[in-house]
Amino acid sequence: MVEERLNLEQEVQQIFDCVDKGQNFVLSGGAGSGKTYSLVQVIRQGLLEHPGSNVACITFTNSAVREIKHRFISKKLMVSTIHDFLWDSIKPFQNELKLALLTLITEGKILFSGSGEEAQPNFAGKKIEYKEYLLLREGIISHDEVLEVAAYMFSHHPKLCDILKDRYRFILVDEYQDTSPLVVEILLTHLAKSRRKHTVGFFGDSMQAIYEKTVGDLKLYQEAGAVIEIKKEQNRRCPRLVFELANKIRNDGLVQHASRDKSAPNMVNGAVKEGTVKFFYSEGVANIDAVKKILVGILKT
Amino acid sequence: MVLGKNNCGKTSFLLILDKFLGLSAGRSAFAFDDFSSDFKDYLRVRVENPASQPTVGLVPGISLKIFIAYEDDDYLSNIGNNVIMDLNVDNKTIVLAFEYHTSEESIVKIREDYEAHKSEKKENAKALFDYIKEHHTKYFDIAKKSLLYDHLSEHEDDLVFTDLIKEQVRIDKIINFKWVSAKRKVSNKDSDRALSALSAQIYKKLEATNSDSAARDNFKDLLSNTDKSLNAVYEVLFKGVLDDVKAFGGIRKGDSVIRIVSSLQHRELLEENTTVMYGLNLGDHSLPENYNGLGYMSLISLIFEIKLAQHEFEKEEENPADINLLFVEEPEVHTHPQMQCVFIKNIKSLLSNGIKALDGRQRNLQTIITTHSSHIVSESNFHDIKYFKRIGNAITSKNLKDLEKEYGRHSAHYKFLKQYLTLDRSDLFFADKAIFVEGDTERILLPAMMKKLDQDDYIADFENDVESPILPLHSQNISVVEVGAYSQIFEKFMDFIGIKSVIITDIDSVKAVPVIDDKGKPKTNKDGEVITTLDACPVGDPDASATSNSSLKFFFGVDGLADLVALTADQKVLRKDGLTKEWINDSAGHLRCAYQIKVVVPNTYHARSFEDAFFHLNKKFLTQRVFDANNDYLKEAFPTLPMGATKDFCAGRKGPYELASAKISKPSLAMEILLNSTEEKITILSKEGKQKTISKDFSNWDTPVYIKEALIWLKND
Repeated sequence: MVEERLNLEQEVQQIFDCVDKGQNFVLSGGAGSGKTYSLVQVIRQGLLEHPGSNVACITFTNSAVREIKHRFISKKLMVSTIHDFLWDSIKPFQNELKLALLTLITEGKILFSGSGEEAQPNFAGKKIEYKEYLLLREGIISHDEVLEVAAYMFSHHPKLCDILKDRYRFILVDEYQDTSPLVVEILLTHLAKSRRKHTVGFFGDSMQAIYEKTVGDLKLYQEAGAVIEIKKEQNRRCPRLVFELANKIRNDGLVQHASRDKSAPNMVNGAVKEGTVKFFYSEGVANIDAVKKILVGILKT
Repeated sequence: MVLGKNNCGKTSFLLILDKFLGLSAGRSAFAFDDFSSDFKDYLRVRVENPASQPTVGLVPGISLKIFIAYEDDDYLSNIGNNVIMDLNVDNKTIVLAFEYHTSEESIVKIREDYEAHKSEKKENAKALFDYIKEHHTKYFDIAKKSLLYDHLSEHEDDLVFTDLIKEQVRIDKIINFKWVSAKRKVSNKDSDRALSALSAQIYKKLEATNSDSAARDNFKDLLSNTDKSLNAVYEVLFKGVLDDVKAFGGIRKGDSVIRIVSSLQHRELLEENTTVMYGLNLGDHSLPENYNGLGYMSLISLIFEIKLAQHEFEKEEENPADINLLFVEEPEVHTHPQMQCVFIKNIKSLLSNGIKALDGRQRNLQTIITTHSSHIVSESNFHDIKYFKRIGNAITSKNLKDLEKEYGRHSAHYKFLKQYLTLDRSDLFFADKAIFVEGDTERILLPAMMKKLDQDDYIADFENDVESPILPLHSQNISVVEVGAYSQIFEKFMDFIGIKSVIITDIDSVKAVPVIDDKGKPKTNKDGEVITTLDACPVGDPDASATSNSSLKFFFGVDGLADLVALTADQKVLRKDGLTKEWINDSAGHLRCAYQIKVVVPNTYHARSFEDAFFHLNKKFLTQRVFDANNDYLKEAFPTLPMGATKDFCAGRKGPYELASAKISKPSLAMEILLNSTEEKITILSKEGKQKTISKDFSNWDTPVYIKEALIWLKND
């Protein structure tokens, strides 16, 4: 089994060292470093080493779901958005769901504007459902509530953690920087309370976080030892000048270099492409349209 | 191990599991005749009467509920997917519910369709049930659910469930069910090579699963080498034919278009060309499978089939199911008693290997065996036995293990019962009725006494021109069990299996007599009162006051002789009260105690023991047999009986009690009664004038009344 790992890229080998030790990991890599490539390798190797187990791969958007499914097909791989994944885990437990919702409403973590004297919705005889819109009175919750209620349930019900860990030997999160802190709390804090064996892996780049309320980075968890960082220093797609520029901009200590894989997309005749770096700027807002025009022109070619 | 008398639902149990969980599970697995007659009646009312209302809480069809307990360290991967319904850590039960059911909507549809059918076909229309029989799959559907279970009240909630079909839950990952049918494929026909075919199937399974592959690779290599050798042979062998083909032209020299090559296929090779041979342990001799005894072949075929099932439980590419259930139906079929013992002794170790899993977690193989073989029961573990019992229209399953709790502090009794039942009397588990007797005399004579009763009933029926619906005793499945004076040890078991039973025992009358000391004077205690002891005495002794029979004391809760003598026949029928756990009189009960009663033929008398009663009733028989025509005593007629006492009895100088008190070997006496029995040809005449000559067995003696009474009670249903 270990020999089979020798063909894997170095970062993925490091990841499986973590798996052997029962540690969770985060793979950090810049744009074009080939994180998704590594993710697919982890899935393939994980299923090979743990036949009979399932792998969950969760992403932030449906388009990312399609991207992974496009690259790897297996009955044992479950790809879904984080919301669907969590909802799928908690929805069979309707009684607990209702109690959790009512508690969260009481605590003010979920807002309920009941009509008249109703302080709380009446869920008796109703089924809690997850939809695109929110209608608490009818037991319908939406994206934000799914995260809140899932976090509550995973923190209060050890059996739920046992079930999830047994169902998925690996839970891999793509573009983790864009997930909610609640998700990371579930995966790293609550699940850790169950003694069953499994591995949580994060893939992403804290420097690419684009939304405000997302976790951004896992520094606190790394410091606590809940997750081990593995840096993806090889870059598979960007020309040399581009990743060197990125190295200068980054402030997280990641220094990228060319891939050792001579067949990586950024290789030409065994050497990394040079590429070009151009710097456009405008003098004031008035000229910005001219700059945009040039950029659009470049992207078209 | 599932046991029970015939028609107690063992096969239905297997079939419902197969129809919901087996390989061919699905709508088409069901037939209209699978529905209970109650449900069919209900369906008729609902279809024929549009105003009828559904019965609340009734599953309109067939339902199966499986209760599964899981432990803290069990793997929750499968049942965690929509099957576990709540997160309480103390609740470790899941309930799977399966239904083959119709709906209100479908009942309306049946009504409409059937009306249309009737108006179209007019007088050729089918009867309602025949119509539904043909079309039931249109109106019935399968449901699979997980029900919410409340671990505190220990009840499932039929109304709160997850639809497992909608959630696409793979139940075969939770329970994998396979069964080995009682119908063995082997026979002694020449053409039959069932074992060889089975070995091919096993190979296919081995190939599919990740079993040891070195031997298999070796096999394939050998085949391809053989192909090469054969190709060389074929070239020569078929040269003539190929030359002829060439002669037809169109083929240039050296341009051989046609070749005949060997292509041995490893799978097919086994199927058609494997022969299971029986080595004879005598050097090189071996025989093909059909040369062997059917019993031995059945056993081997059974083991092959079990091994095959075991391989099938190991799935390809995925882990075995959480629960692997193998149902072996009547392994005793076509097998000799000795082999049945061997089978059951070894089956546990055969199955204990469990099932290999990809993830390295060994899965257990749970096996259910149904059997009618007391040999198999005698070799099995008492705790493994589930006894199926029919009560009215329902079947309940009881764990013999639970009997241990019933016995509580009398664990020695339980231990005795366990050994006695499994080793000696396991036929009780299959019996429809039972007779518990004290000892050998009754056991040896009971078959004769039952036959006598059957013949008397037959004659009475013939004479009255009636045909009784009641089966003769000898056709009923009755176990006769010797229990000595310990029938009360069996009482919990009697209640447990609940079959109609008779205890035949003795009234054992006793009286108080003073204890005499060395000097021939009565002993006294320190208060000067005479110390007494209880001695056997005739029932008619004016001082007779009690019984020494502990069984009678136990079952009737009295020890006074007068109480026992006063009991009527009906008052001797008992049932165990569920609450007080005491045996109480109930004329509809299933247990009857029989002991000697007061008789008036040939004269008024109350015997104390079986022998006493028998001698009293059969003085003529005894006299006829022990004296020859010259009135000389024939010692060889009843060598067991002491001559003096017998002569005194026959002459009327002594009563039956005295003769019975003589030192007599009881089993020998019983044998001697049978040996002295004669048959009599009699002609019987019915009221309607029919006439028939039959031979009446054991015609020269009579069955003591208390036994006859009990047998008549037992015979009726």
